[in-house]
Amino acid sequence: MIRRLRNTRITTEYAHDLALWRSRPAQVGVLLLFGVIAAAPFLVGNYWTTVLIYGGIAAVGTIGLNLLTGFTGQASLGHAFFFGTGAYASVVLSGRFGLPFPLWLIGAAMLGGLIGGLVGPFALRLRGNYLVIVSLGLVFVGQHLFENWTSVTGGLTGISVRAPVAIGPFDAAALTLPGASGTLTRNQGYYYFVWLTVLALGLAARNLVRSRPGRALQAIRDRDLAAEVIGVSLVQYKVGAFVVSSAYAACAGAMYASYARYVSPLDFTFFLSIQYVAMMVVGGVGSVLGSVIGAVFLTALPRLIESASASLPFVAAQGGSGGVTVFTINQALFGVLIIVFLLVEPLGMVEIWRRIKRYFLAWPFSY
Amino acid sequence: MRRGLRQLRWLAVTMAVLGACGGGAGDGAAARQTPGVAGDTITVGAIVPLSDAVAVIGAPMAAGMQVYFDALNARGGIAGRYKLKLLTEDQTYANPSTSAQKYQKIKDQVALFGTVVGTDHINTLLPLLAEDSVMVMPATFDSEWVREPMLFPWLAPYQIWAMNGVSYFLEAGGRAGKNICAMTLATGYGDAGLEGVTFAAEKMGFTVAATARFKQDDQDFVAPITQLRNARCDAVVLASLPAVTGRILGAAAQAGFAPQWIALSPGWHATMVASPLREYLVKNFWVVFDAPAWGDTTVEGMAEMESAVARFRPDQKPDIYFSTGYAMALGVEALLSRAVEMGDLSRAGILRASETLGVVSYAGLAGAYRYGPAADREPPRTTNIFRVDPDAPVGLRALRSGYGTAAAQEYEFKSRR
Repeated sequence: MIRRLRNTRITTEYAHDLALWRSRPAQVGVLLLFGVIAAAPFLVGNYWTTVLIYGGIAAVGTIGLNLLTGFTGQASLGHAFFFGTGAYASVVLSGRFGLPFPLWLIGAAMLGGLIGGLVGPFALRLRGNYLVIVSLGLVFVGQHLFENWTSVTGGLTGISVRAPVAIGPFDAAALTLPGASGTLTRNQGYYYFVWLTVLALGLAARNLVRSRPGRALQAIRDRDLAAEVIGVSLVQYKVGAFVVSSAYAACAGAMYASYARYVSPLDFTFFLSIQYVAMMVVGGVGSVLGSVIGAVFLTALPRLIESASASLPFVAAQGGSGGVTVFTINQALFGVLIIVFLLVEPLGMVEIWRRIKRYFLAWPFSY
Repeated sequence: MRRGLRQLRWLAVTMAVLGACGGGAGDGAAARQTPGVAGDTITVGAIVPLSDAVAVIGAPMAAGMQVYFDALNARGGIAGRYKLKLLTEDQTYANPSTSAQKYQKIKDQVALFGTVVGTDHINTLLPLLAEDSVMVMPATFDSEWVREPMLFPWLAPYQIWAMNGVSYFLEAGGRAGKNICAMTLATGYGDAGLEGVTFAAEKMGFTVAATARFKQDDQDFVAPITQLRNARCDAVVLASLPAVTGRILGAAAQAGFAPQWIALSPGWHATMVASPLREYLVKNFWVVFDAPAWGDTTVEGMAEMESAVARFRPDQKPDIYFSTGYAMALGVEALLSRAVEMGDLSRAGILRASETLGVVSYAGLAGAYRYGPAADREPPRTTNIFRVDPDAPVGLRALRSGYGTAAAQEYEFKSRR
């Protein structure tokens, strides 16, 4: 019993706190989860694979936002701008300069990080609401840029993207698995590419937050003045958080452009920033796993509502025929979920999961 | 760290095993020869706005297509054998990526897409269509579609409507030397309208006095209206959508600005004649389109449509988007009939059918279109001009039918891709 508790709940060494996966059940659980993720495209069909691809892309962006807001306490509504920057960077780097994969993806992330580094110093002068307003301004500046820099972005009518995920014989759009006779569909190949990226960047984020820089970020979040007193460099870590967060968002944007193959400024509006905040709040502020849960949940939910709309009594199938439409429900959904979660479960869906885990770990003494 | 690496190795093995187990699923889908054809039923896809502000276009369009299919199926279907089934999905007009998602959702269940609304939506889909060899009949009329092999375009392109509308105002209307302007939605559709005006200016020797662009969700039109008024525009070509047109005309009427509006048909909706702008519309508003007026039973297709509506959808009110959907279904039937005749309903077979189809007259519901390989297609180049008449079925009465200008004849259709 003592051994079990030590393995799970009671930590007796710092190493336990720092471990990626603390206990054997957690390790088995993670492996099972990977198994489900790997099998998903064969189980859910083409459409839901597409939804999961967009969910994976959103997960990368949400992890980035969580690093900045959840772990460092720097509230931002400017994520759509960095996401868009990454998307257009992939258009230019791959389409115009002919950079192969993964150079266009790394380049897009670096460009996003660089611009994040330029914006970061604002956070040294501004806090809280003021920083939110500055980041909001960024979205509108970006929108203006995306709409009017037509030679790069194609303006409001959009631009085609040619950013293939292929190195030599490896092509995500035509993957061959060992033992299978044909190739996977483009959707299935992209699904693995996106979710392997989620895995890699999720692990990187988890490693970042459990190490020395991560503790510095969390110290800044909890009280930046106190953090500075104990020797945390605000310049280094606040700007660093902006750089990493923007690089994640730009990477997500580049993957989005590569998958969708056509982007327009309408894809990077203020509403996208709200979606990312909702994903972070609903999933769990200050949690990498929560970011992934929130992103997948909120990407799939509008589609689920749509699928179920025929059997929902208050939903009208068509606009103008009275009642609430799927479109209006989905428009209000993100705002409603942010309010509900902040009131009822401020730590997000991941906390619900943690509570379930805690209940069973102490079972049968769960009270 | 070492433990983490070990776990990653396990992950790789798990993925490989699962992948190997499921590899056949992808092959199976690829091996199906005739997606969307099950026994004697052919499924046709439609991706249209059904629940947002542009549902006033999408919903009646899908209904029109359904009524045509019902009437066709009641006659025994294509070649007396194949019944047509419509599979409709909702898109959000303001977000073209919604069409890409819906396309992925139903592409394996349909033989072709009978309608997709939105120029930018078509742009988003084009790379996917080439990859999947699926044909789409666009409910949008950019000149670029004429040369896209995977599209099955119909009607004259927007550019032709705009230049014929301008020409009618200046030449047939005897108003040479008047100022021509354009006010266009900032999308591919709006740009197509503007391109038509610019081309007409070049060929007919006038200068476009002012151009204004706007977004679908703009609320305040004082600035663009003031710009057009200050440029002393006598006629304004308008590429807009129904919900926005009302706001634009409201701002214009309030500012006392009353040019001749020459609107491309997606900017019109019959309900506008019941608005307080009724008198303003009657005096100042034309709609350009190359389809006949609702109720003109001298047109063969219109008489058939009226009898199909009476039988299958008696509550249907006159609506140009309903007749648009109905006419598109006629094109779908022509294409699939040819594929059946050639004995190949696979996607490649449907593509070949489009290349050997020849002229489709659309029973007069649209201009006759000559199909062939994409490089040889020839769309109609004439336009019908309508004025607003509150007593007419869709609020429109023909001012001039089949009007064509020399500029429209000279216009070359090119693919920009």
